[in-house]
Amino acid sequence: MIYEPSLTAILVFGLFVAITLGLSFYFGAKARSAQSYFAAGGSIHWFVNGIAFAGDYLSAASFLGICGMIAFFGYDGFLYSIGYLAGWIVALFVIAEPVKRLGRYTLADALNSRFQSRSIKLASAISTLAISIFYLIPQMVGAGALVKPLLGFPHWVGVVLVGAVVVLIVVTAGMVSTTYVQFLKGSLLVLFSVVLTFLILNRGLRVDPRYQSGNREAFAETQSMTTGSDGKKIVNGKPQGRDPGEGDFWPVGHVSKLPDGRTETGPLGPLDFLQTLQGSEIVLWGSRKTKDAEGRDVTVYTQKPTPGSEIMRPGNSPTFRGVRDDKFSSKLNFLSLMLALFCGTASLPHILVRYYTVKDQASARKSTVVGIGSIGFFYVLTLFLGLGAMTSGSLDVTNSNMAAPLLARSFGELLFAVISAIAFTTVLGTVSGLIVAASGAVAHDLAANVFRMELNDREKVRIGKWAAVGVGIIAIVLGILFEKMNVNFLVGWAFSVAASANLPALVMLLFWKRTTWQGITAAILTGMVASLAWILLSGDTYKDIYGLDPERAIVPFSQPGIVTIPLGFIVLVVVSMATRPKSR
Amino acid sequence: MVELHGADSTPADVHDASAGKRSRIGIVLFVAYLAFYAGYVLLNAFAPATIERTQLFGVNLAVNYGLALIAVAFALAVAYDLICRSLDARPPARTEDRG
Repeated sequence: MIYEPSLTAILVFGLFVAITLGLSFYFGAKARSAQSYFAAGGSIHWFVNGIAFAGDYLSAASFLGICGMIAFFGYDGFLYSIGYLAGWIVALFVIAEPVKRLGRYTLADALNSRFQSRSIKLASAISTLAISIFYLIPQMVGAGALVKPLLGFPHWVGVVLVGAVVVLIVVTAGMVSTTYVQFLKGSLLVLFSVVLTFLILNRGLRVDPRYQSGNREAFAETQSMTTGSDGKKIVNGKPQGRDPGEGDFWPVGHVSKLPDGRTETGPLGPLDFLQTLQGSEIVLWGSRKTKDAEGRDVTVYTQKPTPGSEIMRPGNSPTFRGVRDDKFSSKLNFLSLMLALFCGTASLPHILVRYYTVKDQASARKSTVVGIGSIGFFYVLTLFLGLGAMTSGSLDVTNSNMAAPLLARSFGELLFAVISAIAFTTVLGTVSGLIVAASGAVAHDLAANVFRMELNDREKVRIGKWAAVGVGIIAIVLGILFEKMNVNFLVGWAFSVAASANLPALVMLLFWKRTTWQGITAAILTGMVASLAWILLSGDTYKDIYGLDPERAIVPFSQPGIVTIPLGFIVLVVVSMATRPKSR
Repeated sequence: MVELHGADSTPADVHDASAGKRSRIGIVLFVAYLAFYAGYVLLNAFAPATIERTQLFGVNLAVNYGLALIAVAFALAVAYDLICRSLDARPPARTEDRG
């Protein structure tokens, strides 16, 4: 679908960038020490930190990805919401206070608190960099994917724009400015999600006039896109464009039947909305790829009138279809993903470093409670946003990521501009957190501890800033190179690698006194390598990356967590037993 | 693997009288929530038809259970914080030094 670039969206986004950069320069004058640059001097108020958790954590995958998945497939997107939120329980009850008590700047500080081991620092820094970069790529690709329809620039401009702004934010004031960018973004995201939800409920549900009076012909209409060898696209039989003689996709997402033969509900309460939708029939869309007589690629989109009761159940999307088949490996794949989401949150380096920005353990705990409240509330709203988009009559049949901005457009251009700008700031907030975490790993763990560089405070900050520039450039390059890659795939990588590499080490350090530095180092490296290897040898990678038959994949299912997280624990125990000091 | 001794300067454990109690309460709440979450995941994996058909408040169990998981997470988080605050506010009965 072709989108008209919105000048208002550009202005709103520009205003936000100006505010965040202004804040960064203001705080930059104060953030001179390493403690200030990497951990905001431990001076952030717990409430601000809690909302900043939401700003850090609710990435483009959460906002655009989950809304889009619910809008296209129903309940399955909500499964991600639950998994992402439940992971915070691990953070609060197990990780938050000890990590704050034991560490100073990075995850490696906490892991190394008993050992003074350079091996742990090295392994932890490598895993932090690997996880941060895997997480950065989808954010940057997401920025590029958004900039084209929303602002009218090509993909690489979006990636460079976001990369440059974030590097500037991080380099000027490190964690201080990053925190306030995330606070601003978290607040705006939740606030405008509430506004959108209110508007959705106030609008209620309405049967589209085309589907009224049993007009079955309306259901037979299809849409198609033919791509020639020269890259030119023909949409619904005409060259794609807005000029006379050209054509484009028409928006989708309609109710075809309401309960009791009604055609309109009027305003609904939250529970009424869910009940009514469950009793309705919605026109979802499926797609099929084929070739025409001239050998050109053709994608045909067809309507699938679906009862609401089927929309509100698990297993409609390709990701979760396995829960409805009888293969045990499909069930294991689902369990493995839900385990990785549960364990991954409390292992993500950019989340863990936020615990060093508050003054004490009580503040770490309280900020996590605020984080759980705001993130949980947002995920409840995603259910309404996704279902609202599904029935808004404004969806792009080719692009689920645009569901939330297009839902906003159905309420007017200003809201579209604001939501589009928030979508960009979503990327800014998460990317800045990742870059701070990665720069801390380079300056504090690698330079100061592994390579034993004699650094004073100022030099450490300087190395941190250069590391931020370096990681930013890597993120920009990868964001451009990976333009065509499925970005959700990479978020899954980051969660699985984080849970497999970091969680066993963190948990055993806290709860098993016989843990040795060798055990921790081995667990981090084994968890990271095993989860990566599993992903590279999985059916999803065969299909999406290598273009091979997924049946030929070496591992039996795609999500590694259910194997590689326990493997991390086992390796840690075995190596710790083998390397236990023999005498006291 | 060779041990590489480095000049790390992380702070040592600070003395915190209620840390042990808070940790134990945290683990109990964590296990309770884990069981609740595991029930949800297992129902989705092995009984998707059951959570589709079972209705509560006019909405299926899949949606109700999901919303309950979010609500319970927040309720437990608030309860944990209140318990920890009351523990922190209590004056220590006797100074213990566990080294």
